[in-house]
Amino acid sequence: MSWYIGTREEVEAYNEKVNEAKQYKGSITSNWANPRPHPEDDYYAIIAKPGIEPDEESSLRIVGELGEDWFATEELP
Amino acid sequence: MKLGLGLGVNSITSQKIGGAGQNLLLGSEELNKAQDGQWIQRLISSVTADDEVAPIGGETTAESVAFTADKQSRIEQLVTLVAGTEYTFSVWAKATGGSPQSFRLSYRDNTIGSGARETETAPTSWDANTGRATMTFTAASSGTYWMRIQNASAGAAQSIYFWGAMLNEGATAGDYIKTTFSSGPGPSNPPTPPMEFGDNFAGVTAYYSLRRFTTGEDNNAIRVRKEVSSVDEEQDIGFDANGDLDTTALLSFASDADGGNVYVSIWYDQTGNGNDATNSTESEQPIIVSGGTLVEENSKAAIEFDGTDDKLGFASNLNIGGSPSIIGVLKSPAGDIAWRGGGSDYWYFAASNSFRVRIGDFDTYFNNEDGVQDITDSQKLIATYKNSTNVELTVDGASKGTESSGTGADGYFNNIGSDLAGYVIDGVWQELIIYTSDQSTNRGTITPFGGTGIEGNINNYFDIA
Repeated sequence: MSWYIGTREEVEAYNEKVNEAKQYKGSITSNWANPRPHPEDDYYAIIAKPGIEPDEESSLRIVGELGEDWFATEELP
Repeated sequence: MKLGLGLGVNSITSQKIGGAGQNLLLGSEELNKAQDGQWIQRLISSVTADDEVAPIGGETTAESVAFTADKQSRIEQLVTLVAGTEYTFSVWAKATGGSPQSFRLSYRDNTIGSGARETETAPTSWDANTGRATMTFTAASSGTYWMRIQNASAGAAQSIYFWGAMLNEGATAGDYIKTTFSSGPGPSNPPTPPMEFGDNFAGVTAYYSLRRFTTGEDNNAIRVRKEVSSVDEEQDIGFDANGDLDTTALLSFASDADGGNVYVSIWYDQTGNGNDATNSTESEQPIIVSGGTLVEENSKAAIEFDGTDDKLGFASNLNIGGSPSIIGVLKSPAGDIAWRGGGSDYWYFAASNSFRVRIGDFDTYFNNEDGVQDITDSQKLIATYKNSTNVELTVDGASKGTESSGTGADGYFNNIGSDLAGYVIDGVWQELIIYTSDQSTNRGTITPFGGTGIEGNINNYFDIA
């Protein structure tokens, strides 16, 4: 599972691009993915949809997997 | 193995909780019918149909059975019962003369070749509330049983009126349910008790499962999604004739799916209460067919959550009250939350020997010293029964004790899986049952391949213990 990392606007734009490409026809599924905020820094990650790349002007970078810093465990409520 | 009850059931006076809403005998008012699959006559002189006014309904539908002077003189019907389940056999009886008469109710377990009997008394009068003889027993084997109405004396032939033969699960005779022999010589297979959870236990708030809830309903289990050449399709998947997930339809749906992958977009609440667990986001949907292969756990279909972001739920919290019972069949690794609600209600598999329950303001760990061991990374039947400020935890049918905490504040549920970063379940779910009431008295016991009560029913299907 690959991920794109960038600003919130960039990952949301990527998500919209996937949604437009998918043209979900089922009655339930209507969205590709939800952006994942980095626990500490001001950037986001979104799961890459195979076969759909960001727009050329996007500065999203792709990684094979997210580092452990993305999965910092929250304190249980 | 699970069908047959529906044949010939044609009226129900009322239903009771706990499996009493059933009659596993056919021809309950046709004791004179003696072909294969019906009331077989052994050493019987005669059975006269419609010979006396019935105790219910006022119609002349009671038979008189003329026993010969032999204790083995009897009428009997073959049924299939489930080991560890408690049954009550009943029939209304009335003496044909001016004095009470004795007869016997008995059964024979054909698997082990033995049974039991009770001597009953037929009074000289009957009505809906009197004259009903009952015999309660727990089946020792899963298999066929002869259910018998027989003479009590070897020394005297006698005739007795009988009406309304019934066999139901539970410790008491349920409200009477009339059954008939549908047509022909009777069923080719003996009737079997309904194993579906909802046939046996009432008051379920939400029921998510990959098995059917009740025999009489044509529900769907899940809605699934696939991509075919990157185009999405969705379809509901229901159950086969045995009440299992219709894997034939599911795998057919998967046959042209990209990568052979099929995901779950809705896990239906089969109770009809509308608490369907959904996820409209593609990447967060758990998988049920992977690479063309059905996801299974212990040879039963399972829904696999990826440990990254998968979950199924609903936007608003379901209030499960201050005394909920939550029962699940699942496999979770250590460090994951299996379900969550209200922000701070959940089951947390803290470690292989540590389990945390939070419901409302209740918050307690069950640990190794409570007998919690090896609860992670394998299929488990986990249940928490809350009663105000106390929770009992059971694992695979064994109680891990009761802990106290909180003041009994309401708890909430809204996700199968978890939406809390770092605690998203990387495991499988097969069944989740939610009650808003304490069901600890109905939890029953587990025996190999079966058991009684709620947990026995679950174990009988999932073969956990």
